[in-house]
Amino acid sequence: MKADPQLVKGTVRLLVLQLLARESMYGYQIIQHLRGRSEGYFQLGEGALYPLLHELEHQGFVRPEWQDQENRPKRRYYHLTGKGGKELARRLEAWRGFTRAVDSVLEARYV
Amino acid sequence: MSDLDAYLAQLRTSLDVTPARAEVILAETLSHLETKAAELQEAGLSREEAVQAAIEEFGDPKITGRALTRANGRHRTFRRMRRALLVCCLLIAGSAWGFFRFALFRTHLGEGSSGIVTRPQAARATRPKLTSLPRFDPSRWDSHQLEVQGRDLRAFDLQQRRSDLLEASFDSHTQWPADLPASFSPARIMEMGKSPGLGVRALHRKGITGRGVSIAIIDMTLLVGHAEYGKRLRLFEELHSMDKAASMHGVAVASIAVGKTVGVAPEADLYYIADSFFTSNPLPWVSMLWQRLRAPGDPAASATTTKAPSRVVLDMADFRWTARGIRRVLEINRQLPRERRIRAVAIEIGWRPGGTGYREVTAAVEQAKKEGVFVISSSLSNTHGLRFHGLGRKPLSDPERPASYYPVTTWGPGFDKPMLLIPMDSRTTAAPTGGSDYAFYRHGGWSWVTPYLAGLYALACQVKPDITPELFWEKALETGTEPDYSIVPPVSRALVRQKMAIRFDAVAAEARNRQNAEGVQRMLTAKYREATGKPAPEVSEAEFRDLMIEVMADQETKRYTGREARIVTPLKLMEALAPR
Repeated sequence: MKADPQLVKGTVRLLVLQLLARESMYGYQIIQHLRGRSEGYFQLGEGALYPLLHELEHQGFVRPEWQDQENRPKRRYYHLTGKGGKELARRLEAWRGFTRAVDSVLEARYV
Repeated sequence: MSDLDAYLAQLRTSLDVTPARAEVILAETLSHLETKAAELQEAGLSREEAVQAAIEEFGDPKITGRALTRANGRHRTFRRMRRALLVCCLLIAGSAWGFFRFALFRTHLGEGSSGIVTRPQAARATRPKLTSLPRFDPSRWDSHQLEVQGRDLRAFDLQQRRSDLLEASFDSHTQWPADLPASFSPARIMEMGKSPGLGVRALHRKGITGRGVSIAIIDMTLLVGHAEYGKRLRLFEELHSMDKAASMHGVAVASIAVGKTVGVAPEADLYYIADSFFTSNPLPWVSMLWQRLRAPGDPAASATTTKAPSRVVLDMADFRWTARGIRRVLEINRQLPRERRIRAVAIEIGWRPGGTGYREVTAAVEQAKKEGVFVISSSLSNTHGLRFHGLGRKPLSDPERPASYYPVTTWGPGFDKPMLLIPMDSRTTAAPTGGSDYAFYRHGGWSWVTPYLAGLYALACQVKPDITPELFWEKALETGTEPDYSIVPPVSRALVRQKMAIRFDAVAAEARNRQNAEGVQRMLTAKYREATGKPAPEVSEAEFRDLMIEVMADQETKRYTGREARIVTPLKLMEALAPR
């Protein structure tokens, strides 16, 4: 199933924060996880992820760190900050409220 | 150039970020593309195919570059615009501030700022050692006989010198011997002298401190940072000053007016113009030196800046500078907001007809009157018809009680006309030797009276903002108390005679400068007839001088038998001006 771009746009920030809450990752790794875990639903343009990561960095939600790799270019890992953790909690709550409301409308029986 | 390099180059040109940030973005992009290409190569693609595929997956470099630019900060053009906007805002704010300060208030002397243009150094604290402590001679006309400021007295035996010590002026740097007479405590005397006296401190406790009132002083150089008045000083300018170090005179008068512990109006603002009063013309200086050489030790020939102005000082003064000082005060005043206008100017010197600059300074005082500024100088009786004199006080008597004070009769005018009597002797003031130094002056002069009056007028302005000098004086006389003449120290006939001899010689010398010998004789015999109602006897010139001195001494004694003088009572005065 192809992802609705509008839906992806609204949720990708939440998903990235959630992934980084579990472990620190570099950009390409985040893309791989998004694709793998959503079973290919989130086909995010690879170049499109980095502006988002840089925005999160400027907002203080993530903290980048260069790590050297053997025989490969070094990678820029992103760690979730305390501020990012709070932002994630806020977005999760909003998301859950939103899905509950959407579900309750969609699943309501009309008589 | 490889495809990868070409892609990165295109991406770089699309980035509008700082060079450091561009380096980060390019390094991260390269890392991503290399990782992706390596993965694709593992899947079986050639290096070229893998790189090409990775680039395609990453997206159009222009679109990605713009997105990364947005994510990493504003567009450079936008940043330039923002900077320009900021500069514009600062310019507008600066203009508004300038408008506020210079156009609206028309002053550069805002609250908390000052116009202190120079900071003279402190005066020397120590003076050469004395070989002995002089004895106080009450028969001498000059009461400033024991001035031991900055002196080391530790080597002297002063146990039996109590009466002399009680006539001494000293300061924070005077070094006393360990054994002093039991009832002589320099620290206690200095502390008592700090009080402006006569209930002024009670007024301060009621909040009558001169707050919101500005006064000015024109006097000698100031130690601008002294703890007594440093925070009240709004302006210090040197108009015509010859002193490099702070003067004892300027520092003392500033503290008497607005000093925080010794001052009459400790919360009034002070504007200060430094003027040494002396002429820049070298001829009077040469003349003074010549007089000193001809008559060494003659008090009439000693020009001193630290005592009541002598005739010689007046001859050497140039009051054109004083006039300019008054006009400068008026000029500053016009720039101040109405509620912060200067209400009084204290000038610790007087002028007389014939002196240099008399016409100019008189005109400046008249201009000040028109502009609502009360010029309080030693010439107050001439400029405003208001008479005053100073009060004596024994150093260990309570400065708060009017009964501790007596009118000074060794010099000054008589009490046959209404006059205000103001605390003058036994005063502690700020000293010029350091920011927290003090000096105790056993004997003062009108220089200690005029700043006191200016401070008192500031208090009156606080309680009654529409006060005028005439009303102030009228109420001060009305509420003042009559001195107890029984405690006035007796003045010996010899001292009065000595004083009259100096006056006679000065009058005769001045007349001689203007007239021939015959004219002088005519004038003096006329004066004799006027005083005695009898024709002058036919005697020699020397005998006539002695006769005339006796006549003048009689007149002088009579002047002090008047009962028109009143000791100022600040508490009653303020109550009369602003009844509750």
